[in-house]
Amino acid sequence: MAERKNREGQKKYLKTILFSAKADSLFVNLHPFTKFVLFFLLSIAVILAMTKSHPDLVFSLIVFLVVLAFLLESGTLKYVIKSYLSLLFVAFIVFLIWWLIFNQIGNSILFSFHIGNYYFRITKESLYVGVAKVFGYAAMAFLTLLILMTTRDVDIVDALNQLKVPFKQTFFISLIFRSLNIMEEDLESIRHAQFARGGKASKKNPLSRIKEFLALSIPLTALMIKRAVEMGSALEARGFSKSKKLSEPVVKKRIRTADYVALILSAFALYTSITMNVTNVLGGQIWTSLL
Amino acid sequence: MDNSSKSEYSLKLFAGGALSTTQYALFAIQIAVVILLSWLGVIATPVVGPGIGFLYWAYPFFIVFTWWWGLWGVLAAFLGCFIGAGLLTGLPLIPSLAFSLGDLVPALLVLILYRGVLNKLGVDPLGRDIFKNKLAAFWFVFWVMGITNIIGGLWGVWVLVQLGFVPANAYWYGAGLWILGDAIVLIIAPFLARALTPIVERFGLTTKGIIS
Repeated sequence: MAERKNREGQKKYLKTILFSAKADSLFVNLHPFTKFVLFFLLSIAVILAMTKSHPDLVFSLIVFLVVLAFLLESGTLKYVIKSYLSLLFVAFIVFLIWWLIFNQIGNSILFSFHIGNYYFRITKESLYVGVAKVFGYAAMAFLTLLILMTTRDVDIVDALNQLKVPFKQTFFISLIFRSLNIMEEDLESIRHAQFARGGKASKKNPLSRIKEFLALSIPLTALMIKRAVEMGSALEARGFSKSKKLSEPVVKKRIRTADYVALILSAFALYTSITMNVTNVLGGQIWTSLL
Repeated sequence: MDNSSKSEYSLKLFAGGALSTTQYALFAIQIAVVILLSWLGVIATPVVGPGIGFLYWAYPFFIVFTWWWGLWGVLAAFLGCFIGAGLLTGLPLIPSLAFSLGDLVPALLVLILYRGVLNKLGVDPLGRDIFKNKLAAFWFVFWVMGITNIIGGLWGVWVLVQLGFVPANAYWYGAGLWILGDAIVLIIAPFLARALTPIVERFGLTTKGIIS
């Protein structure tokens, strides 16, 4: 997607790994190292919150709401709603159902039923655990999407350059990211060409879907090889095998105050998750009994 | 295929000398394709359990890419799962990393068996003879669709249980669905190998060793 500009000619949106994000957003302008560390620390914090014997629902909920706020701030929430909401909604429902069916704990029965010889019960305790797991998973899923929707491939290349990763490795990684969009477009073109020739989509039978996918996979692989041969020739024509370094990126990010604040807050979140159960501190056991 | 071309492929690291620029570009693009298909395998197929998509379309691709490009195919398997089926679908960093070993290990085991052992028993290391050679068909079903797929499935669901995504009681059910789904899509691999290996070989793009 082209970069959109306002009347003053300033870029309003930047193309990122997934979709695009506001150019002046606080989160978008964090250094890639900061985003990586934040992502790492918060993922551990939420996993710890989810795997406690009494999962920490409040902690997961807080992380979820903070992530949601940054999705809004970076102008990426609309893409999550348009492209991922139905997928995530199904995933959350499946998640909850599995935890209700396969985690038969507690005695305070809310609902029970039989399937053949099997007796299932949904208790206050199993419902609490299921909901806490869903919020933990949702917090992590939205956090991952936030990172991908606010980071540019050029930021990653820039960060690798700052880490003094050798040119060929850095270029290889940037080639992977750049090829993703190209191959997605190629796959879409092959599908359209096949529909135009009478190919059918969305068959329910897995074997029919495999047959349909096989018809896609051979041209896709052949096109991939063709692209590589073209790209190899183009790179060689530009003296790739002799070059020693990448050209300097247009925008070089520096670690700023906002980065330090983000790092301190994520380290604090991890410390909190290790040392306490926020739900229990706020009287969570009582809430369960109120269900 | 004659025996002389079979013996060209081995487990040596750099049997083919330095990588060409075309191979360098190709290895990056094939990783992108596996990432894309892994992503589609999760978002465009039925989700049958937490973190478990039923038809993982990338699986036959990285198996064939491993036959053709050795360790680069294994790298595609790992990164495809880590980025495509993990990060791009919202799975966090640590689960994605741990869970991707479930694709890396099967690809690595396929590479070792085909390049190291089956090559010497008269089976095509690039998988072209699965429909023609009974021994090749047996090893494909036993090793690729069976053992390595089972290892990957058991590992992947075990990671999901450890991370609190899948209830411990659902372990065998989840692993069963994972293994069955992967076994179904793996049917594509011999077709891909038979149709496209001659093209890849003609362009000189296969790796004779496991890196070049």
